[in-house]
Formats: sequence, C-alpha cells, structure tokens
Amino acid sequence: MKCFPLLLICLLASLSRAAETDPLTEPANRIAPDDPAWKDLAATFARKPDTTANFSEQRFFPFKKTPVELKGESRVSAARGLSLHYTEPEERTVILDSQGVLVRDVRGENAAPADPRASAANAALVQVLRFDLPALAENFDIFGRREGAAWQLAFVPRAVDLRRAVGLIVVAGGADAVNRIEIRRTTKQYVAILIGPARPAPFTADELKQFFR
Amino acid sequence: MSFRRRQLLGWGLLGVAALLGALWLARLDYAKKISSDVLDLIPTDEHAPELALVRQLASQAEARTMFFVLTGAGDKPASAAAAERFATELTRSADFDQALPMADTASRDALGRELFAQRFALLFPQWLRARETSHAAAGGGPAAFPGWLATDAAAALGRFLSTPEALAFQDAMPADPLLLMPDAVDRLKNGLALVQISAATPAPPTLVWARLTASPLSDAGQGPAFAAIERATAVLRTQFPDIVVTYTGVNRFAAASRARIEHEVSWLNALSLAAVLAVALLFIRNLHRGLHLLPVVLLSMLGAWVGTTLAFERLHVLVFVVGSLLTGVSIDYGFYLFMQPPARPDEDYWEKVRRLAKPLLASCFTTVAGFALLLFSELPLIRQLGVFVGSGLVCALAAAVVYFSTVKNPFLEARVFRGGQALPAGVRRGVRRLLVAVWIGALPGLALLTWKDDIRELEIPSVELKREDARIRVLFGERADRTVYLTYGANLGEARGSLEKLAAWLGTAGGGRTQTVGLGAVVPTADEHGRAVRFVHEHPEFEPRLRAALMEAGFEDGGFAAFFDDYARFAASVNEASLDAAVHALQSKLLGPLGLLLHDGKPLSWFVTVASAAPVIAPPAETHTVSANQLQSLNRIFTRYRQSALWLSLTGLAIVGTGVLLTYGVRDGVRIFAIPCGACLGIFGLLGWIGQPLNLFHLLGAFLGVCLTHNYSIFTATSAYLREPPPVSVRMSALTTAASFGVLALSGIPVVRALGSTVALMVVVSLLLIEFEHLTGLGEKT
Repeated sequence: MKCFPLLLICLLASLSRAAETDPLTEPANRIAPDDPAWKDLAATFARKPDTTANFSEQRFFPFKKTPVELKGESRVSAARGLSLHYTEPEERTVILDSQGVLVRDVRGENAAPADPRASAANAALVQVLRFDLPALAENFDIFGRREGAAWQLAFVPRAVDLRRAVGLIVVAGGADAVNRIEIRRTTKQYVAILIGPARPAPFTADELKQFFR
Repeated sequence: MSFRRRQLLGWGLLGVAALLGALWLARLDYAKKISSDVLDLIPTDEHAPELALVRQLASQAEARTMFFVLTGAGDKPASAAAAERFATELTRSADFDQALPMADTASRDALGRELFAQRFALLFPQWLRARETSHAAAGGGPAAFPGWLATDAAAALGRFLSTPEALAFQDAMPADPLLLMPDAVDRLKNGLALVQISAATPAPPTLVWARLTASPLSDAGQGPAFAAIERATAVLRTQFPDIVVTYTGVNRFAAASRARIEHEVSWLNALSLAAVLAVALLFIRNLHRGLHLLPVVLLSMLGAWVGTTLAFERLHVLVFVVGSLLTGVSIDYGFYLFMQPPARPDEDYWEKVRRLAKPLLASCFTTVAGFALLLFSELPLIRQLGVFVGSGLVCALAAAVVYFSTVKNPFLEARVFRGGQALPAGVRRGVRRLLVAVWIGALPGLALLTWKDDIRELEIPSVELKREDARIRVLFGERADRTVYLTYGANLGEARGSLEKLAAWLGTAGGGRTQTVGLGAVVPTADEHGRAVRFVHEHPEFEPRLRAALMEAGFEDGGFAAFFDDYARFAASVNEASLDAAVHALQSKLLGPLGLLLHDGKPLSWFVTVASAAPVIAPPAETHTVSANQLQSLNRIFTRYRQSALWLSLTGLAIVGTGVLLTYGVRDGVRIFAIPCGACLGIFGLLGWIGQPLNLFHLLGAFLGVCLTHNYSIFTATSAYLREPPPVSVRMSALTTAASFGVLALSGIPVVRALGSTVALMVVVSLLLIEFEHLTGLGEKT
C-alpha cells in the first residue's frame, strides 16, 4: 500500500499525468472538514486504538496486462503513524510518519529525500487512516457520501504538483473501518488496496521496533 | 656654495620630489591598485594544477555562494512566500546571478526532466556496462548478450513493479522500461542524505541559497552585494514586518578582514611613527630640533609608496601593514647623519657626509641588496615588500643627505646615556658571558623548531562571523564528517575518467564504508559512452528482442511505444560527440547547490564528490583529486613558498655577509656579522625551546632583522676602530626600530605579529650584544 513516491518523485513530477476524476467529486458531494454530518465518524476514528489489519494491494499499470498483486499487514498507530509490512511478493516494510517515509528491506533502510510534495502526499495517507479531515483539508478538497453505515470519501489535491504526483484518493468504509483505498491516476493506472478487519491490539515492544521508526 | 644657496637648492630638490610623488599618488585608482584578495598573494602564473584549481575555485560558484536564513516573529521559520519574495528581490539586483529558496523544487525538477530527456546519452551507457558485467559474471558469451539483455530487462521491470519506487516512476515507465531513471536514482540515493538540506523536522528552517555575480574577494562582491541584501530585506519587511535575515558567505569574511586590515594600516603607521618619535625624543636634548627627523621618514614613506605603485600593477594591502616597519628603519640614516658630531668645529656638511659615507652606503646598500633579493620570491607579497622597503631605504638615505644639507647646524646633540658603559667592567664581562651562555643553551632549540603555515594567519580572526557561519552552514546541511573532493581534468571527459579512479580508490581505501554523491552517478565515462555507441550500432536486433521479451513477460504490446520511438532516434543519431552535448545540456539545468557539482571551464574542469566516512589519507595523485578544503591547499602553497623564502633568505644573508667580509676583512667581518647571525639563531633556538611554531613571516622577520642589525654592527664597528663606545645613533636607531616593530607585534593579524615580534626581539638582543662590548676587540686590535 505504499502509494507515494519514495525517491525523487520531484524529479518526475512534471512527467506525471493529470489526476483521474470520479462522480464522487461532483460539487454536490463536497464537504467541509468540520461538516456536522461527518463529526460522529471522525469522533469514532479519534477513539480508535492502535490496530493491525491484513491488506492486499493491486497495482494497475496501462502497460501491464494484469495487475501486480501484493499482500501484507498494516499497522496504524496514533502516535507513530502507519506501517505497511509487505509479505508478498517480497518482504518489505514501509513506514510513513511525521519524519517522512522509511523503507526497510533486505538491502537495509532507506529514507526518502525531503520534498514538500512527497511530504504532503505521505502525510495524507496517515491522516486518511486517522480520519483527520481538518488536517487533510489543508491540502485537499474533500468530497463524501454516506449511505447507512457505509461511507465514501474522495480527496482531490489542491496544488497542481500534488495532483500530478498523487492523483485522486478515494477511501471507502463501513462504520469505523476503512475497507478500501484507491489512488487513481487514470482508469487504467491506479492502486487499489483492500483492508481486512482491523484487530485492535496494543503493539508489543518488538513490533514497535520492527515496524515503526 | 653659500649655505643659503645650498638650502634653497636642497628644499627645491626635495620639494620637486615630494610634489612629483604626491601627484603620482593622487592620480592612482586605489580601488584597482590595492587588493585585499587573498588570491593576490598567490602568483598568477602558478602552474600546479591543484593550485590553479584553488584559484579557480575561489572565484567560481562555490566561493560565490551565500546562505540566508529567514526567521519571523518569535524566531520561528519565515513562510515559504517570504523566502520566495526574498529570492526574487535578490535576483533583481545585478549583484546576484542566482537566488532560490531551498524548499523550492524547481531546480530538482529541471534536473529530473533533463536527465530523463538525456537518459540514453547519460544513463544508458552505465546501465549497459552494469548489465555486461552481470552477463559476464554469469558466464555468458558476447554473442548471447543482446538476447540475454532483453530477457533480463523485461524480468527486472516485472520485479520492479512491486517495489515502492514503482509508483513514483509509473508515469515514466512507458518511456523507460529499462529503468534507467530508477537505476540512476538508486546509484544516487545512498549519497542523497549527505546533501540533504534540512532534515524532516516539524519546523524546518526557511533557507535561501544565492550566488554572487562577482568574486566574493573583490570589491564588487562585497559592498554592492551587502547593499543589495539590505534592499531586498527592506522590501521584504514591507510585506513581512517581523522578518529577520541572517546570512553568511566568503564575502563577509573578506570584507571584515579588509576593513580591519585597513584600520590596522592607519593605526599601526600612526602608532609606529609616534613610538619612534617618542624614543627619539627621549635621547635628544632639543626636542623641536628632533622634528628634523620627520621629513626624512615622510619622504622615505612617500618614496616607498611611489616605488611600489610604479613597479606593480596591483598591490596587496598587507604590504602597507608590514611596510609600516619602514618608519623604524628609515629614521636610521637621519640619526646617523644628524647625530654624528662634526670632526672639527668648522667641518663642512658635505665633508661630514663624505666621512660617514662608507658606513652609510655599506649599511644602506647591503640592506637594499638583501631586500632586492626578495624580488626573486615566487610570492607577490614578498616581491612587493622587497620593493617597498628597498625603495623606501634608498629614498630615506637620499632624503637624509639632502635634507640635512638645508639645516643650518646639522648636528643634534644627544642626552648622555652611558648604557652598558655605566656598569663596572666586571659586571659587563659577566653579562656578556651570561649572554653567550644563554645563546649556547638556546642553540639546541633549533632542532626542536616546528613550522606551521596557515593561510588563516594572514587574516584577523573574526570569531563572531565564524560562529554565525558555522550555525548557518549546519542548517544548510554541512557536516564536519563530510569530505568534499574535486576531481579535475583539462576537460570534463578527463575529469570523469579520473573520477572513476577516485571511486575505485574510495571503494578500497574506505573499506566499503564510504558513501558518496556526485554527478559521476549520471555522467558516463568516455569508455562507457563509446561502448554504448557501439552496442546500439552493432546490435539492431536488441530492439525487437526487447519487444518480444516484454510481451512474453506480460506487458502490453504498444505499452512502451514512447520508449521504442526514443530509442530508435537515439540509435540513429548517437555518435562519439553525443556525450559532450548531453553533459552540457544537463549542466545548463544545474541550478542552485546542484550547480556546484560540476564545472566545465579553463584551465580546469571538475566534478565534485561529497563523501561520508571518507579515508583520512589524501587520494593518490593518479586520481587527480584534491579535497575541496581550500585552506589546506593554500597552506600547502605557503609551505612551499616558505621553503623558497628560506633559500632566498640564506642567499641574501650570504650576499650581505660577503659584503661585510669584503669590506672589513675576514676576521673583523666575522665578528661584525656574528651579531645579526647570532641574534637570529639564538632567538629561533629559544622559540624552538618554547615550542612556538614558525611560519613564513617569522622567516621574513629574521631576514629583515639580520639586514637591520648588521647596520648597527657596522656603525658600532666604525666607532670601535676609533676606541669609541657604540654611537648613540645606533642605540637610538635600535630602540626606534624595536619600538616600530614592537608596534607591529600588537597587530591583530597573526603573521604581522610574528614578523614584528621576531624583528623587535632580534634588534633588542643585538643591542644588548653591542652594549656589552662584543665589538670592543676591534679597537684593541688596532
């Protein structure tokens, strides 16, 4: 589920295409960060403990006949950010926190270079999983729709550079769970992440050391 | 000739000389004539490549860089908008040719776009070499290589798609299935942390990087640049009233140093003159008649200024600081002429001059000969000093001879000070023996002498500026554990070849711990480029094989049309000259700090490599690499010049000594010359014992001290032959010289202190030797 550039995204920003659109992003669905209709959900997320969940990720590329599939475990911590532990096809851990992005794999650790666009994009993912709409509203226009317990949110980067780098983020869930995240560049180029049921459990010291910075 | 006529003639001569000199000095453009640029201390015809590199570097982008930190209310980092505005205002001034906020990614974007555009010329050759190496390691033969390469590339692309990096490069992949860009980034990434500007912190500082248009060591790179910064800050405050701009740059140090040196020129000269006159007035009975010495000193200084400004197109300001010592030396001839009593009451002035001509001329011309030898020095400052003191001394002698011909009674009576003579003979003998014993004890100290040539000692230390500089540079990512290497060549191709040798050396000497960043990661060697050119021309089958391999690996047919179009164009147009064009195109996009990584110019071009955990030893000569630490390089230059000055001084001493031996015979000559030489050796021995490291200027001071003290020795010898005590003029001369050099020892510039204290010590020791009758034996012999 590592959805944002790690290395020199800035070098390639200008090569990127415009972001995908979605019916969800119609003006009628636009919501304010403090929209009362979403406050209960935000409050529920704010009370959520640290969680672990299995996830699968499909990467669709226009030049690839079939999507690339990845699997792993995600860990969300209010204090330490987001950790994605990929188990297939290769073992790798991607950590997104207030310091940026850190990748741990068989070659060791690599931190991404500081870049305002990459920082905003990486912070967005952490904020989405925390349902931190006021923070997201600083860089994104927010659109949303609720039907019973099910809900859907779309985040459109306001800055052109960020829009080119990230595209459209669509998050779907039910009650206090995030079920699916899509980062859409085009109809043929996107990443779809399916998140399994969250398992609330405090992280052990070993987990904190292995999966967070 | 009547006295009145002689007086008019003398005044006329001196007046005309002073007028001509003043006119010459008045028409000079001092901004152009006098330099405070430390590079003007290095010979312009210096051919050693690393020294040429230092000279180029100091005027090039690196030295022209300025760093700014913008803070707002409560010392919080200023906004990005403030940084943008400040940079814009700076670039509006002609004094800055670049200014950009460090948070601005425009320069990196431009580099990324250019790298992508030039990926075949710049990145394909290194990628190909790496694949050739892997293929060879797997035991594959050359004929199978194109097919293996196509299959391997398709498989690598498939693997890459599951990495985090794939999403960053996904838009570029249709045009880059060989993963040339990710491959280049992978080569760069370990080193990127070394040049990371600011760590990801909750409140990173707001930084602006700027480059001066002119050299920071020139006037144009200082005053006007500071004014431009003030203007930009003032404009910024109209929008952001609480903004505070702090900055650093080489020009701040250069300007501070220049200001303080200029200040020193004024007060050292004034204090030196005052000290000399104060000593002189102590010894003379009639104070107002002592003012007759002043015109001689002033005319000597005038002559020195005219002589040097005539002889040199550009002079370093340090010449005038060190040249202030001339006051103490030039007054000697005045003393000797003015204070020698007439041989008989009716002795004519010119008769007196003829009588004193031998010691006057011997002392003047041997000293001038010694200083003339400095003209052979490689160091411009030393050559300039040689002319300054030499011409000043000749003018002092001529001025003294002419001026005192205009004085009605050219004899200045001295107060009676018996000096050493006041002590009983036994005490004098005891002191003399004690001096000899101290001297013998000091001699072994010569073996303990250490030399330390440090360019920083040419300048006045600016503690506050250094502290501020260190603070700001840390914010810009400079760290003490980094080593910056410059790998040079006559052109970029040569430099890139040497860079390959440096990389190999760092790999072995660094024990695998050294991490580097530099443009070597994205600029191929000429050999790699040549192999790539041959590959695309000799293996047209690679393209269809790659298409087939990609299809087989599950990629869409036509998914990489952009790549195959670009590759076909590259294959059709690439030749041996393509690399230069690509590198120049890349260079044109290197803005801001990135622009420092590569320099293409004459006489040298270079690549910059930033390394962490670098070996402590210097890179071997075949790497054509020097550490970018200019200080060390300049210190090496000064070590070389000090050795050269040592030989010059020894040759000068030999000339002066031979002159004394020829004039006074071997036995007396040795005795006379033993005073300056003995004082010099004894003082150096003492400095060796106390562990004081010496530099070029101690050496220069010693040479000067020998030239001066041998004058006293000669004048004293003349009296000794007549069984007279040392003349009062010698005592006065020595004390005034010690006073003027003692003033130099108060200078804030370490090298000037070194020179002043060395000469003052030598003069004092020589005077002690003279006072305690070292030369009395000459009279006893006769």
